[in-house]
Amino acid sequence: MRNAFIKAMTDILKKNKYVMMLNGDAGYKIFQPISSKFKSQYINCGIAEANMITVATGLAKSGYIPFTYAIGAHVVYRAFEQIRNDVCLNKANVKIVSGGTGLHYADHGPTHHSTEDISVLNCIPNLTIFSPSCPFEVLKMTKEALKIKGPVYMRIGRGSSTKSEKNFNIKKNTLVKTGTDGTIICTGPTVIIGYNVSKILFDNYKLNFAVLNVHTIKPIEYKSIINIAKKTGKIFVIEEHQMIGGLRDIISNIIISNKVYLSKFFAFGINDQFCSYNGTYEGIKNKYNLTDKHISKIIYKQVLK
Amino acid sequence: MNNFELLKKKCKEIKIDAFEMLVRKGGGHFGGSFSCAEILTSLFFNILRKKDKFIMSKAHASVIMYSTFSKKKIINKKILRSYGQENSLLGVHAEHDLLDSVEFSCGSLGHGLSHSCGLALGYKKKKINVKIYCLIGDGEMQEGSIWEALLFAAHHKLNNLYVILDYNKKQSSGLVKDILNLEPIKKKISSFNFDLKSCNGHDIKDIITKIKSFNNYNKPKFLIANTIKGKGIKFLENKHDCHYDVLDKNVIEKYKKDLTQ
Repeated sequence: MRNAFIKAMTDILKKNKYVMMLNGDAGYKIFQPISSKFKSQYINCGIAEANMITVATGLAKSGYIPFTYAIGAHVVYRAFEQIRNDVCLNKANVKIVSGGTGLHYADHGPTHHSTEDISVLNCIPNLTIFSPSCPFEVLKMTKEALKIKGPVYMRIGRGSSTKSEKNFNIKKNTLVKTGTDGTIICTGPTVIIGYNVSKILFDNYKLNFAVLNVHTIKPIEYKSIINIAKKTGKIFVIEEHQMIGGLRDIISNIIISNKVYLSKFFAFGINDQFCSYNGTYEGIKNKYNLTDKHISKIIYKQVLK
Repeated sequence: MNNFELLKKKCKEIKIDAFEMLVRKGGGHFGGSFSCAEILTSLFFNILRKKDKFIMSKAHASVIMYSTFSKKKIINKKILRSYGQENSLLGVHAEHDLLDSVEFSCGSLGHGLSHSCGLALGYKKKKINVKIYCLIGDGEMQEGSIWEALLFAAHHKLNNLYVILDYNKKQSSGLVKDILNLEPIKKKISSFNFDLKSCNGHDIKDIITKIKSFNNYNKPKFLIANTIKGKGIKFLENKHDCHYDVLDKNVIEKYKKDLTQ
């Protein structure tokens, strides 16, 4: 995922000398190809995220297009006021890219988990929020961010391809898989989970589930959500994020405000808790019930109810 | 009347306009606005060239910036009358969206300096001769982001950045030295690799001379303007908590007399 971002940035920096890459000393060596090739367009701002975000607004005002990169948890929570006031209130042409979002930094502990970034940023005016699910989307969305004149936030966590690239359209949620028995709605790192769950549901229980990838959290494209909810009547949301203010709440709001009747609405995500677990990414997902196996079992039980 | 005398006269008028705005509103940030009136007068009537940028990081003193804008004819004087009224373009903290003469919307302290660093870096990279003047407060210097910005400015040798500290020694609930001391401020700023000078922040000639005498080509500049909170209104100058005042109608005339003298 991060390599796709670096690849996209390399292309962008080469084509537009007014694009700047600001780094909050994150990513270890992944920025080396950029820092060595684009010396005048790259700044490591040091471990000072708040200053980096506002410096970016000054650069934007002087005609540059700055992209900032930092670990999601550190930039969104520490520099939240800078994002709200300096970037969004001032409509600065700044692109904030977060690395390691969701539970990516599994054993680094809750200080390093970005499991509330969607909740806290979704309510800030003037901000576009991208949540790519695979390297292809990272590539596309980084380039899309450049086209938007104004604040953009992109969260990069884990992710892998569901081979639905050909369906990608920045203005629409991606229908990863069609289905009639229900719909799994997911974003970012849970798109691959949703896809795997749909396969298990079919293989084990002959249930044919649709999978919808909400790659853009804001502005959210709600038509496809309403349509698929009406068509399948059952919605299951999966997110590697707090459900409070996360995709669960976003989707349920759309369902309720559009008066869509559902026979089932259920969400899998982080349930108002910090995720403490010292082990692998797979291990932490297992502890917090975000594995393909667990989710498919629960969905099956829910459908039978 | 020489140039400095003329600016002194303008400054007095700027203060009277701001005073009347605050009176009409029924109160506001008198202290920190009147401590920086001479600084703004010096900047807008002498230092700033058309292309230069001014960032009011201590935006709670926006009222004095509005009256300076009006004196400089950047905005129409009539607009000043709307201050404190419903739907006014002039807020307690100046907003770029409402008034585009305001370079950057500030309000929460400790933001304007980082923005100024970005501007300074941008113009420097573009090799455009633009100078950035950023006014910060002493209470504001307690914010950690100010020190991040100071590190950044020096590291990137932002020689087109002029930080002006309105050092009025007071903050909302008391004296800076009692709450979170900045001293020894000169040692701190010099050790951060700034070209440092200090002046009497109420002496327009001293402010202008010191700003023009900065000559280090590798360092950002820092001017400590020693000021008195509420300067010009004797009653406020001596008052301990003059950060935000709600006016007692009985003292308005007394205040105004101080200003017009």
